[in-house]
Amino acid sequence: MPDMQARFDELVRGLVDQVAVWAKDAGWVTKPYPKRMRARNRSVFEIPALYLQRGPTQLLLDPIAFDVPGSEAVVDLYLMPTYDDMASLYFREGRWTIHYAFPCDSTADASMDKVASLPLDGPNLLRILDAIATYATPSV
Amino acid sequence: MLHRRFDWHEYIKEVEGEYKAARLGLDRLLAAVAADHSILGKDNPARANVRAAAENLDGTYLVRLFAAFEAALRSYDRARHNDPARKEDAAVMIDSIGGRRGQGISASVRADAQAVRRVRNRWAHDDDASSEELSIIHAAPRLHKFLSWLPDEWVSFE
Repeated sequence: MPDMQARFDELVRGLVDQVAVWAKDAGWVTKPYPKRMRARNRSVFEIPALYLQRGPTQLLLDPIAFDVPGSEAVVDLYLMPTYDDMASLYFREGRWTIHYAFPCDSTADASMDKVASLPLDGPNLLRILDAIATYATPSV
Repeated sequence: MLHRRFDWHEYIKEVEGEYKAARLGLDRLLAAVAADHSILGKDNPARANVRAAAENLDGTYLVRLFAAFEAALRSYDRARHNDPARKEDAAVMIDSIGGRRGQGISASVRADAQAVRRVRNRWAHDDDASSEELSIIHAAPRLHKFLSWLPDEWVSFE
């Protein structure tokens, strides 16, 4: 396995395991799912994705890419079943960062969303999951 | 061989991702050209086409997006009828394919997918039957939602 792909595999497995622990403690049901991705040589490899559900809110933590300028790994968080983009996680400079647009409480104007880039830890992840569960509705 | 619905969702999501990258690149190029026309030399053929490329980008990718969706439907439709040569129209597949619970997919979900198909037809076949406007960002969730009614996996003949 090429170095970048092996590193991606290691980072994503660590992320999925950690997110599952944090989310379960907050009442989310989690289920890993093997995602098939293509390597640069077009071969197929498997890497874990993670379904999360709490009440009616279903999310997918989905590994996206490792060959990304400025980042060793990118993982997206989608609202299901419409795969609406909710948040993105980047691994750079030795740590995961999560990007999420917090909705403003007092307005439905999406342009007023407050975009935050936060270091990934339990409290920040759960704050974002709670915001998604509170505000997000599938786009169709 | 088993086809997994998840893989088809991912395929559609990849097309969306490529669209976003292309949109970002074209928008930045247009902004740069607006600030400095010399970026595109006067004999560069891209000069005459860059604005049209930006205006038609949603259509270009909507055709690919729907092709991925149609391939998923066709795979499932062939498995469902146990017929590897079956070739049904996309419009018929959208209306006829049942959900994983053996029930019909809800009318609103089917209507949303049909709307994407009509917009695809306009771009792909210069068919002006549909005057609807539908961006990639609004089309993709409709297709994902339709696919979410299919079983998690099915036997593929391919």
